[in-house]
Amino acid sequence: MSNPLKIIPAAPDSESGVSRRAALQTLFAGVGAGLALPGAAEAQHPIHQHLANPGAIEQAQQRAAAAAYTPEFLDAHQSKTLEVLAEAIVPGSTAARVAPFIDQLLAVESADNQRAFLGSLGAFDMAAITKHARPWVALTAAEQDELLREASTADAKSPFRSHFQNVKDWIAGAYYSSEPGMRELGWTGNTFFQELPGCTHPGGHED
Amino acid sequence: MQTTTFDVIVVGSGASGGWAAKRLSEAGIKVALLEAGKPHGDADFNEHVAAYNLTYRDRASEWIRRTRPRQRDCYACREWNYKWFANDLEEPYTTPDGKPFSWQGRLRVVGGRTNVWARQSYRFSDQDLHGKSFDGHGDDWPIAYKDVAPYYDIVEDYVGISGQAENVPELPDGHFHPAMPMSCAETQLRTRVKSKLGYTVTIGRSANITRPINGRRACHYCGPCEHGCITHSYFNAAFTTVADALRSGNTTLITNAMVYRVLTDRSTHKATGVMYIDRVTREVREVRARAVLLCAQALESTRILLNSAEGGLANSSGVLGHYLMDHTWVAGGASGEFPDAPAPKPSLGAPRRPNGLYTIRMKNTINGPREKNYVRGFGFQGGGSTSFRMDAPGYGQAFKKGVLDPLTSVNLVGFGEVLARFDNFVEIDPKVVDKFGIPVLRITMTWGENEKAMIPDMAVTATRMLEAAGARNIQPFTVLDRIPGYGIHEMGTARMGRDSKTSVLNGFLQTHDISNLYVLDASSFVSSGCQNPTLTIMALAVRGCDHLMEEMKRGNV
Repeated sequence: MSNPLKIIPAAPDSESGVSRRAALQTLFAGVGAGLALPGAAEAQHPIHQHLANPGAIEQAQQRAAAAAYTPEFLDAHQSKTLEVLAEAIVPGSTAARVAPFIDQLLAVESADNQRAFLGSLGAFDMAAITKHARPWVALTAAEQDELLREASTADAKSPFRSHFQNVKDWIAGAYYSSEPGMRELGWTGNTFFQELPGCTHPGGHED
Repeated sequence: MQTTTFDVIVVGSGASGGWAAKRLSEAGIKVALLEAGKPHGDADFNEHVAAYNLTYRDRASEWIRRTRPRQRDCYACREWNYKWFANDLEEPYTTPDGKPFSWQGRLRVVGGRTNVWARQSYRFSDQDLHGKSFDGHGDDWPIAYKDVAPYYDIVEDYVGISGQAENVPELPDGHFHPAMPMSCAETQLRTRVKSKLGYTVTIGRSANITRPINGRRACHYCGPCEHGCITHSYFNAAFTTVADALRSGNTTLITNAMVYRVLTDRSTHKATGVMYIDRVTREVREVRARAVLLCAQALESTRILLNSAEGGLANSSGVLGHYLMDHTWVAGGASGEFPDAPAPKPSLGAPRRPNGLYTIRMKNTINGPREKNYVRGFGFQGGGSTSFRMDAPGYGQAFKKGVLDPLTSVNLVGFGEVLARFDNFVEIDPKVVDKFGIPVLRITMTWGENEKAMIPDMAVTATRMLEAAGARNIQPFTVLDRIPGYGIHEMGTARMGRDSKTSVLNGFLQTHDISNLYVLDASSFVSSGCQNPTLTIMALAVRGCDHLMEEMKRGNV
């Protein structure tokens, strides 16, 4: 099993506590069997209990169940604009559900950060309207790409570049903390390593 | 009011309290171990939970700040573990206008701060303990290295410190587990800095075991020790000293016990016990014993003493609360890149070393030249890494490709000694209480001229080291307005000394005024050194317990 905390679909009668416990037990059994532990002696390792964290599992289930996500903070237009921008700035963001996660974060952010994000998102609409008299989501892919190139290469102190950087940081942070993003960076779920590699060169890299 | 009687009361179950409970109970003494926080153990650890399985993937700092605005300043307070920390709204402290202090690392679980500590473990040298004799500033400790050395041995043998002996007098060697390896860039730094500047860059001496001991398994290099450790591979009092104390059958652990004051008998001038408030039920309770050991963390222990009597208990000297110290941390240093050093590609699937580098104090050394602008010195912590370039330019596939372009760099961050000054102090704020009704501390601390002179030299020295090592794109930094407290090494406020007119404790951490009252945490420190204090806290705690047991045998306690 590649995913140590793979989500199983909620049972039709998942309102029932008994069914829920049964479902979790099934999941835990799968988790234990799939862990890359260093040896057979590890079969009784506390990791089995550790991963059987009902809170974490429950949260993951809730998120998975929220496929039809309703934004908490952004309005529908902002949410769509962010989704389109995210996919262009960090490809794969739509599948990784970057926009809904950023919305979830923004809902608990400080007013200053909320304001700054909305300002940066709005700057893309402003650029689109100024140049094409249409909002960002109505631009063609080529038109969006042209403006993104402009934003990403503008003077570092220019407002458009700053807004681009702000939105990009949010998107990149959300993407690379998602499961697809982490796996892209090498995450396997294995957290047990018997050795730590180090320098083996004789001479200690003296001049 | 319920009252229970024991031989000894230990207040706090962290680094010093855990050791006190273990040392005493294994000698047959009946101990009541009071912990202000919740029960805590393996089931609470979550170091292997991936960020994407957290609600906010540890990216919603403001959400944590809603209940822990100050604790969140601590790098170790994260979405995985923030509930282990005190709720700052429920347990506040105050500071004067214009003099902020960041009191972080206030844990409210069994094991205290050892749950999340950085595990760096260094001995103090005679130069640290007798700084006044060396440069004339402050006061010497009433003890010498030879007094503490046997206790460092005891603690190191049990805790398990991985590291490497270097035979440098400013940092005495100890009993080490096999050292964790250095990367090529780090090795290059060590070798070239030694040959060109004479400074010693060594692997951090860390309380992470690299071979099994006492049923604990060697480190498995998952990385985030501050989230707990199900293999018990770092030192955490919860699953080591406290567990041993409970196993002895002689320790009774009382959790959720917010100690308000030490109780005393005015006729005998002895401590008789403590009064505490149950965190959950809010019941007021008392525990009685022949002796009381405060191990609640430096500021919390002093707060208890200040709340125990008008003007403070055991304060005939008038120095209780004074001579507060921290270390200057993330105030000066530098980073540099090592693009030519061999390094594996970065990967989130690779082992992670829970440890860094340590550069042994190189200024105002025993046999070296003296600095003109400041006394004492600093060490560097930090270390090397080969990381992803999350700041890669552009967007789209070009950006994603840029992220994967490895960046090998080394950071050197100064940890500087802070001089003990009378005007850095804590007192009880008469206007503010916590949610339990216990008066809170008002903390007054600023950096002195010596610290301000030392910090810029950290940046200069780190830059020279990186230049000597052949680093590129060297970026020095200096932060002179860092708020005190970020070192998370509160020391002093009940200092030890030979003279009862100028100190609260004697060399065994027994209060001068009350023979059966000891304070075993870092509040006893006379000076701060530039080394992390926990190893010394533990060694002094064991030494204090041995003294207490001798006093009990003699009938003095």
